[in-house]
Amino acid sequence: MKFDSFAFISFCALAVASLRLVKPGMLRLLLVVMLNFVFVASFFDSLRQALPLAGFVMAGYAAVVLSSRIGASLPLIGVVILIFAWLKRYDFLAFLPPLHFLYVVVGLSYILFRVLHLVIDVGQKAIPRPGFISYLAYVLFFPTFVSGPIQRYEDFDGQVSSPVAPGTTHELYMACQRIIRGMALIGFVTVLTHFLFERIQLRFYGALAASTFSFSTFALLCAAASLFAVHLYLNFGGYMDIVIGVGRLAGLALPENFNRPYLSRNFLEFWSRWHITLSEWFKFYLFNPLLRLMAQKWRAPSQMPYLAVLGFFVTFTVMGIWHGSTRIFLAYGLILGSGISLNKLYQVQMTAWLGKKGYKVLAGRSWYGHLCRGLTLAYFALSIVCLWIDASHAQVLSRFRGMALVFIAFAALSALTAVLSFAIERLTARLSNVPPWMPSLSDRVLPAWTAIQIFLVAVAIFSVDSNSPEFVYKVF
Amino acid sequence: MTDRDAIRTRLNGVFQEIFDDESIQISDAMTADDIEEWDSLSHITLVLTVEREFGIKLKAAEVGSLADVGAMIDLIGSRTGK
Repeated sequence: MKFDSFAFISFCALAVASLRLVKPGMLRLLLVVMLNFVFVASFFDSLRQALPLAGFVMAGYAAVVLSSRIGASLPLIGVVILIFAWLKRYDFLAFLPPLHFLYVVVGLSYILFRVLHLVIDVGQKAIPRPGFISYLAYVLFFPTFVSGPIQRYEDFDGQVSSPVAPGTTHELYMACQRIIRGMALIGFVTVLTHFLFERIQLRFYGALAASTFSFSTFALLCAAASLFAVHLYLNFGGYMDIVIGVGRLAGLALPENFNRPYLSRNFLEFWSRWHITLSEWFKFYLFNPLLRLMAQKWRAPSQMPYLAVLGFFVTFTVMGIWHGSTRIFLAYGLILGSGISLNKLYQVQMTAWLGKKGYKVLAGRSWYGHLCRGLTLAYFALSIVCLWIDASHAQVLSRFRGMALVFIAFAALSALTAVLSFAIERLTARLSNVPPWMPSLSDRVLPAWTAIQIFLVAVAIFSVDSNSPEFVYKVF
Repeated sequence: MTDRDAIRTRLNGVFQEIFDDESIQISDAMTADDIEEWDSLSHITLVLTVEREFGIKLKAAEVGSLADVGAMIDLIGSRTGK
């Protein structure tokens, strides 16, 4: 079921109405499970295709039950991860025989996060073991099934088990406005960005084949990397708008996944603003336990910052590898891990050289902020080249001349983004400086903008329904 | 002095030690946003020191979701039976 389709809008209308009408209790949980099944079933052409996913969900519940009895043991967590990696056909498990039929793994990665959260927290007695119906309602919850956000079980259960607040007219309007914005982004704006990106990507491949190191290769790499970063943000952000808006209409508050990531001034801050629930999950279940383990082993306080550097490296490398089963995603993980640990190391060294106060003064300077923002966003845009480049072209970039090209593109994109950041800040300051008697910009613009978005959604649904590209994060 | 006050006094000492600042006076509503040095790194140092000081072990979910100092005091109180 595509998010910008008539079927999805109809399904959501029915789901929201029924969730609002049915009182909390077993009947409501069964309703959620039924809605989940209808939504999930729309991604499969046959029952056979769904068997691996169904099997993983059942194995996940068995692991949750087992952990409630024996505790959250590492072997148990390892077995769940191994089944996931085997179904996703990770390279390192290539020696294991595959399933000899075609199957679909949509949503599997996010089911893994929910299952591991339950296995660990139920095993540590931090939350009670959910019943089977509650478990199905949670792990397959239809708004968050495809790509999150990763909601915590206690948060989900608390909301589904409580009476729905009626919500003010303004809140319901804002929820609808958000769904419309998301649909306009998914169904129209990112159709355009995807169209443009594909053309630049093809030209970049052509230029790379002709010469690894030329001005056109450099310019096309910068353009493709920047455009894909913008496309990914609009695409993922649009998806989140729809998911969170539908949740709010149904009276359920889902966690936000983005908080204006383009404002970030360092890599650590970026990951607290981008795909927030994924970063939080990794913080809870990998970074924190790992750092705790290392800190208990090496107790000297002076070593803590360096242990954090190592902790960040491991965490972000694993996060990168989670995105895909091939070697290119291992490279993506290592690039993310290196970026964030170098960033942390830089902060530690600068604090040592300038002192806490001196570093704070430097970080407060406007030019320094724009420069850091440029470096952060350029590094991110170039690291996610791993998400779109194919293996043969990635191999060309990994050679010496290719790496040199990437470094020059990084320097140029950083400088360009820093200048753009400065220009936008100046322009925003000028625009916000309107006389008090004039209505604010958002009051004037929001209704008109909403009307334009409704038009775009209508165009998307009734004319180019089948042309919209797949939601980017659906494949991870 | 109530049990909660006693925990708060001991916890205040932990905060002063971890953040190397004797002027820190914790309050229930205080969060990581109120202390500049309180990042993911110092949070783990804080958790380990709290565990040592009060003889408790915090769970993964508790380490990650402690919203403010008040929640931390309540958690310590529930674990130490005070």
